[in-house]
Amino acid sequence: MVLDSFFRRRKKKIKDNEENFSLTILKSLDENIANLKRMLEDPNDLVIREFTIGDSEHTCAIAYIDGLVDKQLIHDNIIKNLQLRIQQKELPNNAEQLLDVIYQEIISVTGLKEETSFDKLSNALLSGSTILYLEGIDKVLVLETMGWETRSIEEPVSETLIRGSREGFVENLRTNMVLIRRYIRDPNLRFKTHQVGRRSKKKLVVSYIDGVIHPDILKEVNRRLETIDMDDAPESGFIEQWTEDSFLSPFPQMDNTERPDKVATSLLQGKVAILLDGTPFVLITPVTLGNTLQSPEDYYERWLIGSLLRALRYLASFIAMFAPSLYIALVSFHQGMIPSDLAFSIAATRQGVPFPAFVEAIFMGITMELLREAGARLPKAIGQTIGIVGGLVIGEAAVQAGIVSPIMVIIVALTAVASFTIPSYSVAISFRILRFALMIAAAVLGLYGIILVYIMINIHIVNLKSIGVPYSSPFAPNFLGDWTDLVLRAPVPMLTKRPKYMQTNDKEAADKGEH
Amino acid sequence: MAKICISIYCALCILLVGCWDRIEIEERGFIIGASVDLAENHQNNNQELMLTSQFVVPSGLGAPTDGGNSSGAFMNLSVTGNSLFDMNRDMAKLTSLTPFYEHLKVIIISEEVVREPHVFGNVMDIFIRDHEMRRGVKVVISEGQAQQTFDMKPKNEDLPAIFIESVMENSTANANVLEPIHLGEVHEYLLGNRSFVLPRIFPLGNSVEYEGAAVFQGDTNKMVGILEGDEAKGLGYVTKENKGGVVKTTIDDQIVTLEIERSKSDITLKNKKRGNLKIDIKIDMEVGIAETFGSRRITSPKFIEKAEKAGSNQIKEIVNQTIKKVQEQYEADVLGIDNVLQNEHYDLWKEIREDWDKGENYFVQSTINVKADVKVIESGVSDKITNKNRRDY
Repeated sequence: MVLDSFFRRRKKKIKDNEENFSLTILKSLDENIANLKRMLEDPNDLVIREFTIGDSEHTCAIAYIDGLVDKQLIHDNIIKNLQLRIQQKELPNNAEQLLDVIYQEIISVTGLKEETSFDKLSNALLSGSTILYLEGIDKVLVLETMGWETRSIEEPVSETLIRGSREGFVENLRTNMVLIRRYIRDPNLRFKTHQVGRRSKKKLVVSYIDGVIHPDILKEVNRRLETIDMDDAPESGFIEQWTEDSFLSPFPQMDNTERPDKVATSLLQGKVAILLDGTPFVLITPVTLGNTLQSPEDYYERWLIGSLLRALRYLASFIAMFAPSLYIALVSFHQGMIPSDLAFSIAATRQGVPFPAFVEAIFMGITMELLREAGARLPKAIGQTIGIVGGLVIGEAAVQAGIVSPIMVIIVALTAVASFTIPSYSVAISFRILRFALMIAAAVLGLYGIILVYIMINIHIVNLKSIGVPYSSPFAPNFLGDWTDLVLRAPVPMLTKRPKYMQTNDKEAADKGEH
Repeated sequence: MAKICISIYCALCILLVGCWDRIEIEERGFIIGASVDLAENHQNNNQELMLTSQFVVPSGLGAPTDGGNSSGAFMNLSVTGNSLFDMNRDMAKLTSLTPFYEHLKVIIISEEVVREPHVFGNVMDIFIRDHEMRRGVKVVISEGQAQQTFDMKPKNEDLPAIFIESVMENSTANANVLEPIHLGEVHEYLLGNRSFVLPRIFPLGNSVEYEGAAVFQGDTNKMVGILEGDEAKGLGYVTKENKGGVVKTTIDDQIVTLEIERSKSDITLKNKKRGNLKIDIKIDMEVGIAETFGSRRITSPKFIEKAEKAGSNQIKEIVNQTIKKVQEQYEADVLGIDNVLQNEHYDLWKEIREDWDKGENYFVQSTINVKADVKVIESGVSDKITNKNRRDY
């Protein structure tokens, strides 16, 4: 009920202050310039340069926003050409013909187009294009002269690998596209541009490989992206949250990565990458639960190592979710299930602890979350202090003070370490949320409660879809062929098929033994 | 709105139940051993029992780093009465902890208790029936007061009950001790009205000796006698398959000890003449030479042959002795012949079941023939240790 109105929200045009300026391009150069200035209220980074073309009587003007353009390019390839190269040439008197000559012969910039709509003009100008006005004609030339300060390509901070490419995406969309292109030279690699943000008008690029991807997935992604209607999408997280299948689910239904190699691999599996200008995080969709527990390094190391690391990560995700709740259930309800010697020693260490196991576990769990959050927010230089304060002071002192038992500290530490091994930060967070749910269930109903919640989680996962692809595949629905690259990773020569659950058009990823 | 209300009610249903059955681990009184004795002031007509439970005091166990704790790691509580369950509840009055039986390791029953017919079954009832009891609990018979064994202070263990349990685990090295019998097996024996043996312990001050077997007559589940030393060994040769042990024999007046590597016993019925059933027990054994006295070359085929023959004779003799005792004195088939008859000659078994080791006593009337075949398969790492012919310098 609430949601319907949420989605029914209409696209509205932003109301511009239309009174001050005309929405059309006029023939008069002066009026055009005045119009432009009025629209932007003449900011000091708007540069307008008027000059005559060569020796002729024709006047023209270029306008650009300082800082968004490559000034060298404007000087060498536009102004110089218009002023000097013209001299050797007879120019037509007709403005229309002159524009054509300028377009065809004079300006040496690759991105160049004629524009008649004022609406698009402002967008181009604010994206870093230069506008060339010519006296006597209601058309302008838009020259792509974008050039601004960008961060250089660096190692991705959030996903470090021991072995693998050190290149990470940056904030610049074009650079990111280049990074993908450098991995895949397939002519079928496609980049489809959308615009998001009513006011921010950001570029968003959907990347896929034509002929590999299932067309319905692409159609669905594009359909969802077209529904996006908000002022601004500062980060790809906004895109993810707008287009995901279930916003109530604790599990992320899109993967985000800073690694071009990961994107390239995913594209080759028939997935879609969504690049947003201004963020180094690229979204990959559809994604399955199995994908979220994979790291590119699984493929870069030999298969035995890769398989072991995978299996270890599955184990770790179970520990991260279940360890504290199992502790609560066993210590508070099912002491008969603990081996005798361990039961006696836990009983001994818990002697004098004033809280039941649940309160103890919640206390330590929240402490752990606080430490982690503090460590993530603090500047790197101070971040280490948190480790010392947290580990030594809270862990050690809490045991000494008899507030928690030493076994609890081990459980909490083990849980934390296990959750750090999950490669995707967002999945690790959802496991943390579920961990608390499981702890409450364990405190109320013991092992029975844990099993109930586990069944509920499974029902949810089986029900969940990411752009129509079952989140639990290839476990359920079961695609036996995909198990070669799931919990274990088969040797590379055996990975000849693209994932079945993606229903790719081109099934073979490699030829098997044939030349 | 209605949906939200319903889901809140559902959540309350679960949450308000409020940690149902929750007892924290430190509030549990872990009972690791239970013993049953006759109460001292019992009258003959109304039998009073004494139940002693050994509780663990976890803080007394101490962490591995700070050594033992002088206050003791256990606490024994005794109550008397005639219903064990009732006595069990009485015990809760004596301690701040909730008695908790899921870590029970051993049940020790005094010989005096089980000499009366049917008492053993009655005593075991609660241990078999109660949901907190595990079927892996070991059951053992104690000579004299069972309670005494819980008061000893073994050197290497903090808890007497755990010590007794560990001693019983060592049984594989000897042929003359029984494998520990678990509660589940006791339940089977009692249900099947079969005669059976239970292992015995003797309290020895700060230790126990685990030796011999108490023989129970199936019909009355009453303890009819004991098998000791070689008698228990003979029983072991027949019933303990593949479990090790030794055969001590002499060759030319010098001791040769054989260690059992593999053993297999086969019971076959030769005729179906009721009143004189002929039963063959064939024991095949593969042994290693563990110890020899004297200075012979033990690799000679002649010696091996001698050793095999001596071993076979020894086994035959010991087993015959055991059979004589259980057949004539105790009249209880603890050799497992009943099992063979039931599995392989069911028609016959159906008819004689009620008169096997009771009533007509066909077991006692049958002739049991023992064959033993010993094979030496290894001789240790040396041929001979001393040399008779060599002079001392």
